[in-house]
Amino acid sequence: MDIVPSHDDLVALALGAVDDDERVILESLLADDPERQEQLRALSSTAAGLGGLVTQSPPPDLWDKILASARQERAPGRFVGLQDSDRLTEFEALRRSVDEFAELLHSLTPADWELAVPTYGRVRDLLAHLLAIEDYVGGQFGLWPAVPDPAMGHVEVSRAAIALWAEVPIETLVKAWTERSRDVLQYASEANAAELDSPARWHAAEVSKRALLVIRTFELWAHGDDVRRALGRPEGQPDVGRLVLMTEFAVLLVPTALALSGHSYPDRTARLVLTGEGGGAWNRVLRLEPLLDDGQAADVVIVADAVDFCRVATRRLDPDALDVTFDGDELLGHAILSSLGALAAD
Amino acid sequence: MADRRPDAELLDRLQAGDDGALAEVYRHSSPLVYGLCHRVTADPAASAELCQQVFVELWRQPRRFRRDTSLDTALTVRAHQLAVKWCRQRSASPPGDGPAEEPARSSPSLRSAMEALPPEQQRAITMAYFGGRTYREVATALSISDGAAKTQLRLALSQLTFHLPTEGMTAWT
Repeated sequence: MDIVPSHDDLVALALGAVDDDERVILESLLADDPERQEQLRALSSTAAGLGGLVTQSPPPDLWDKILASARQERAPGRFVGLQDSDRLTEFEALRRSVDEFAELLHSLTPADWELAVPTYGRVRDLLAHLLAIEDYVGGQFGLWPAVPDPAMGHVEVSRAAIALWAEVPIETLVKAWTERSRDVLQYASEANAAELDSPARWHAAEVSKRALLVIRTFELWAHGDDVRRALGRPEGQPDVGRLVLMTEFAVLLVPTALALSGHSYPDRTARLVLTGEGGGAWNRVLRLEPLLDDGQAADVVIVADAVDFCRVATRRLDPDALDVTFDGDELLGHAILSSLGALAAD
Repeated sequence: MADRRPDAELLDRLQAGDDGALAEVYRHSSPLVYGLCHRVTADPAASAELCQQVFVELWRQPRRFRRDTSLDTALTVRAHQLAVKWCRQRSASPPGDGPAEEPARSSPSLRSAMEALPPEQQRAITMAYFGGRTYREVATALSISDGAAKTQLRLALSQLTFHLPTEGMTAWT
């Protein structure tokens, strides 16, 4: 065998026709030779074509064994590489979002605060809105008196605050928001499971306090992107832990979104496959209970990127602009995606 | 059977934990994987186990699969590695020395091309690829030198290249 592997050596290696000792030697010689590595890869691909001469159907029961074994290795619906340590509590997810948003605010110049953002006017008006929402949420947590009309809409409930803070020095506004958001975080860090599972209002809906924390995480991410877009900066990518919480939450609320949009498909099913870090796969019956049987075929399978799915849910991406694949009832799939934005209060 | 989705999409879905994607890959690729394992090992039980290992590996670590190589190729390469290793660990008489069996589905031109190879090239590549033999064992069996055995393998693969599904591979001699 030549010190520099020849074509013949590479062919033998690609065909599996070398013993283990020689294979190890050849592979070490190729380690720093990207050109020959590429040649080997091409030869291996070519050799693999020989398999086409000998195709044969496997035993009928083999698939069930493979599926059972695969599910033991990694549960379906779980993103590959997702560790238990990646999972965040709702408190930790919100804490990261508050810290990230605070860092964004501290990077703004005086001129940046006057830039236009959707719905609320200027960046500073957006922060006044968020301050009002912290007030709203803190009231629901019992930290201070709740707003007089908790059923008031998400945009409407902050109009008075936006007007009140319109000309107040920015430092004062930022300090007020920071204090309010830290108070909410303090509550979240100390609340036990029973408290977090207890009900609270979120405008027209009743949700758990736990869900409110996820909603706030969603909102801070979406509004953070509103500010970044105004500044011409790249959009924010949530970390895996927050994205897992957000996608699970959005998928859970698909039937709610449909109902809010005036759709009703109580006996239909959907499988949502959200790709990318923090994604996963979920089977949903389109009423308010999840499907329990992983093996049941869904009426539609929707495959989309996890972050973009969340952008559709927050109305930061038009459903028609989403890069999505449907398998099955495409009309149902479109109805689900077009209704997702109903979850966003803005 | 419905057209298979693009490999990149299937890999994304596998990463997301969609076992429906695994089912789809299995549906399309298992005859290739199982068939090759069976041809090399001639052992149905071993073939089933090796086939299982290939697909469970795909499910466990889909991110290890290169996006610039087709899934069929990657799975076939892995199946062949496992099958040859199985044979050598058992020091079994190479079961795959004979000519390739009549396939369930393969290119007629590939079969013809294989049959049209000069006898020594056909024997060499059959013993090596389907028999799990090393080129030294092929040389001994054919009473030729090691270098000549490698040459026969190279010539055979080169002749068959035009009839094999390629991924940008150009013929060479």
